[in-house]
Amino acid sequence: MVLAGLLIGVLLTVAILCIFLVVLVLPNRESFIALQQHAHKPQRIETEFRELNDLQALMERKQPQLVEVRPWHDNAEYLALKADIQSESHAYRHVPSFLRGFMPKSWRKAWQYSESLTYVNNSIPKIISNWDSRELSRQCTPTLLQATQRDSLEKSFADLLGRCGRMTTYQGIKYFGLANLQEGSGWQFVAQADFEHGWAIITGRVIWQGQRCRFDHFSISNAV
Amino acid sequence: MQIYTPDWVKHAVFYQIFPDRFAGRSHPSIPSHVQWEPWQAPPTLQGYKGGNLWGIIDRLDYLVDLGITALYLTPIFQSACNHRYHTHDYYQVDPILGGNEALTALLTAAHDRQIKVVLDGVFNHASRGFFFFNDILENGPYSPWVDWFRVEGWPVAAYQGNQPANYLGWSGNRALPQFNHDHPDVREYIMRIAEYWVEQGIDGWRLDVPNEIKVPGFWQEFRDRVKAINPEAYIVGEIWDNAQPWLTGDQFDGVMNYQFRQACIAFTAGHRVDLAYTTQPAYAPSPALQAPDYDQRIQDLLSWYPWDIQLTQLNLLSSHDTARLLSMVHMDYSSVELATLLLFTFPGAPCIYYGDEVGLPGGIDPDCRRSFPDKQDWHLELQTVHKQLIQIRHAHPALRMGQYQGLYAKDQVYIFSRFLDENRLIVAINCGSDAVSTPLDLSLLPYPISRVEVLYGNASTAHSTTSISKNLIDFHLPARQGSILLVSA
Repeated sequence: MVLAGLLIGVLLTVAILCIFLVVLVLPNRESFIALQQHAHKPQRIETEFRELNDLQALMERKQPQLVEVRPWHDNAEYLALKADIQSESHAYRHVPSFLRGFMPKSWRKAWQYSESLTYVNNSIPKIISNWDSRELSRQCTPTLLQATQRDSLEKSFADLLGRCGRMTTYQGIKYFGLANLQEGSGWQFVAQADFEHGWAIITGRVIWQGQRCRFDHFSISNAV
Repeated sequence: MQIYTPDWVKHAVFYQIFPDRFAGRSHPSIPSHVQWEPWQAPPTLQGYKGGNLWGIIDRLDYLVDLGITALYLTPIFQSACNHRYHTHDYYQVDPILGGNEALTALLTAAHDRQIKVVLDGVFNHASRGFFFFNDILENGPYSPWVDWFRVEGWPVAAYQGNQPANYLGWSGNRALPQFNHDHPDVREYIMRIAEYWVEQGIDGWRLDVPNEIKVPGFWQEFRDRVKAINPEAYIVGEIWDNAQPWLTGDQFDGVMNYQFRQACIAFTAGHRVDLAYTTQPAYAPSPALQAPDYDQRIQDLLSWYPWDIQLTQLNLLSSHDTARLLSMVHMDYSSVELATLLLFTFPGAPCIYYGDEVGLPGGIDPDCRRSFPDKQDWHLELQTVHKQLIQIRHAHPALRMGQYQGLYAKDQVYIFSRFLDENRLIVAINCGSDAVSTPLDLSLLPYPISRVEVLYGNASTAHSTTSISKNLIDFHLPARQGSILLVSA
C-alpha cells in the first residue's frame, strides 16, 4: 500500500511538472518564432543583402560574392544552426512526447510546421551530401520504402554522385506549403543544392506518422 | 557549381515595345513623305504606322514615371515587314525606325535613366530578302551562300506559291528561310552579330524560337561569347513550354514565362477567358483554375528551374504573340487587376506589353499590335494599379528575391507569403464574385507577426494574440480583389 501510494505520488508530481512546463513554456512564441527564422536561413554565407534606395546603385549592383564554399557539415553557420535547433531553448522540446497528443490543435499545428521545416532542412543535406540512399531509406515512410526498389535507388544515387559530385552548398527551401492547404495532409517543398559539377532541385512531401515526420515523396527533379 | 544570372534582371520591371506602334517622331534620319497607316486605325498585317526609336526616346520619361527599368524591343533590324521578324540586315537598324543613329541615341538616353535595353534576336531564320539568300535567288546553285540555308532542290521558289519552295522555311513559311546552323560560317556569323550589338551597348538578347536551333553547343557558345563581353547581359529565350533543357545555367538566363501566364490568367479570369483568342490551345489559359490548382501549378513551376533562374524569368500576361489580356477576358478589368497583382508578386521580372498599363485592348495578331493610344483614351485607374504595384515591387526586396510560401488555397481564395530577411509580405487574392472572410492560422507563418499594414488593395484584417489558441488573423477580402500586406514583427 505504501509503495503504491509513493508510486502514485511520484506520477502525480511528474504530471504536475509536465503541465507546468506546457502552460508556462509553450506559449512563449518568441523563441519558437526565432527558431523558425533560423530554419529559413540558407545554409551558406552570403554578403548581406541590403535594400538600395538609389535606383542607379540598384541597377548596377553586382551579385553578392559567395564566401568559399565548404561541405555542409563543416560549415560553422550550419553547425551553429543545427545546435540551436537541437538546443534546449526550443520550447516544444520541453513537451514530453506522450503529452503532444493532448496539445490543442493549433499548438500541434504550429509544432508540426516548425518540426517539418526543420526536418526537411536537416534531412536533405544528410541524404544528398554524398548521395546516401540508405539515409533516404531511413527517412522515408514505409509506404515510400515499399514502393522503392532498393537496387534502382542505389543505382540512381550512384549515377547522381557520378554526374553531380558531392554537395558544396545547400541553398535551402525555396517553396514551402501544405500539400493540401485545407486538410493539412503534409508539407510540400522545393529545395535546391549545388554540387561539385552541377546542381539539383529537390522536391517532395513530408507527412506526420504519429510523432514522426517522414518523407512520403522525394525526388531529384532537375539534376544537371 | 553556382548558377549565375544577371543581378539587375532580378530587380527589373520590363516593358515590351513593338517599335512601329509605340511612338513616332519625325527626324532627319527617317525618310519623309512616307504614307503611314493612320495611327489609330486598326492595324493590318502589312501596314506601317510610323513608330520609331526617336519616338521611344521621347516617351522614356513616361516609362520612368511608370517605374520601368528595362525595355524589350521586338526586332528593329532592317526588314520588309512591320514586325521585323524577317531580317534583311542584322547590322542595320531599319531606316524607318531611325537607323543605327537612333539606336545609339536610344541606348544613351535609356542608360542615362538607368533603363536597360534588350533586343530581339531572330537567328533561326532570316528573310527571303536577306542579301545572302537573295544571292541564291539570283544565282541558284552558283551562289556561294547555298550551304548557308537548307536548300533541298532547284529551282528555289521564294515567291511562287504554286511551286515547291525547295528550301526549308520556319514553320513552312517561304518568307523565312532557315539558316543551316551546322555550317561553321553561319554559326560564326550569328555569334558575331550577337557580340557586335552587345559591344554597342545593348543589355541583352531576347531570342526568337531558339528551340528550333538544335545544333549541339550552339546556345552554350552564344552565352559564352555574349557574357565574355558583358557578364551582366541578359539572355532570354522564347520557349512556351517547360524549358528545362535550356535553363540549366549554361544557355539562357530565363525564358518568356508563358507557363506562369497560363496559370495566372486561368485562375484570375476563370470562365471569363474568351476561347476564341486562345489561338494555341496547348498554351491557352483554360480550363479555369481554382486556388488549390493554381497553387499546385505554381509549386510545379517553381520546381522546374534553379532559384537564380526563377528570379530572372521574364513573366508576362500579354505579348505580340497573344491577344491582350483585357480583350481575352471580355474587357473585365477586375481580371486584369488580379492577374497584374500576381504578376508583380511572383518571382521573376515582370514585363508589361506596351499599352496594357493604360487599357489598350487587342485580339490576336495583328490586332494585339495596335498603336499606343492617345492620352484621352487611357484607362487611368488601370495605370494607377500598375504604378502602385511597380512601386511596391521596387520598395520590397521580398517580392523580387524572397522565398515563396503558400498559406491558404480554397475555392477562389489564395494567400501566399514572400519573405526575405526582415521584409515580409502577405499577398491575398479573392477571385470569387462574393466577399469572403478567411481565417489564416498564424502558426503557418514562418515569421512573427504583430502588425499588418495594407500596402495595396482593400483587404481588412483583424487578429487576436491574446492566446495562441486564438492566434488567427481574419482576412476580409472584397469580391474580385487582392491585397498586399506588409507584416511587422
